[in-house]
Amino acid sequence: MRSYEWHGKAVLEATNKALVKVASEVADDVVRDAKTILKSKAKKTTAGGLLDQFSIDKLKDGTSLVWCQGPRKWSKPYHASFFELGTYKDDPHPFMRPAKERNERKAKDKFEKALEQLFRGAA
Amino acid sequence: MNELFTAIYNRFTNTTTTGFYNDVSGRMYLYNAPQGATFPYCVYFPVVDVSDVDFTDEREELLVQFNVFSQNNSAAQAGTLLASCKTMFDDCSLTVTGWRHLEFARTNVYPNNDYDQQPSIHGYSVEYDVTLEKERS
Repeated sequence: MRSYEWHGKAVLEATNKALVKVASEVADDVVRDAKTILKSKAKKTTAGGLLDQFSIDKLKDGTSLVWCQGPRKWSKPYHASFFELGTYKDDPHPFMRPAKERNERKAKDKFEKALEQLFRGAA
Repeated sequence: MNELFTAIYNRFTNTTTTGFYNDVSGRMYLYNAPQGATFPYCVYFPVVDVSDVDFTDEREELLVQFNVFSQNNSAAQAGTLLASCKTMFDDCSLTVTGWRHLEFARTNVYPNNDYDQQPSIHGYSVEYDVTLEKERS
């Protein structure tokens, strides 16, 4: 009878590493698309103010959080949310949620491909 | 996707004497409210541009947002609007011409206030996931 070593820890580490890498790529894609949508919807002044306000936080579990706030020098640093959701006087110009939606299917494919490559390589 | 917006508006106007229609006095606007619109009111719109969705698939998923606003010294009226909006649209069934309506599920609610105004503006943004399937002849 042959015995196989499980190498569980190594498999989990490799899987996690691959998924974190893809999550980071997906976050970059979302930011890129959000900026493109923002440019197409915003007036020059507002776009200029928000375009360099995107951030990607790497969370402890390896996932990435994409967020956009607003220029700190402005009196309302949460300006991005007004732009995204709309206010009682300003029309909504969603840019974050459409970017997320646009990348959902692509992200799923990327995760699948990364796992496939990982396990084919290991086989 | 005019059929969906029409279906949403039809549901809104279905009962006028009570509920959400009555609470906003019939003021629900698509995309934007006219300048100087009387409070309270509601604005609804697709979060993802309709031009981004080609509606050639058998099944379509959209994100629709409702913004409710009230200008009142208390947050109570906005709270009432939010509650009646949820009552009207949470998991509702719509009649969408050419489509079978499968889902109208609330996903997120965000506060949307402006305390700089006098009296303050209190509001909420309510987001729904909508799923439609093409009707087969």
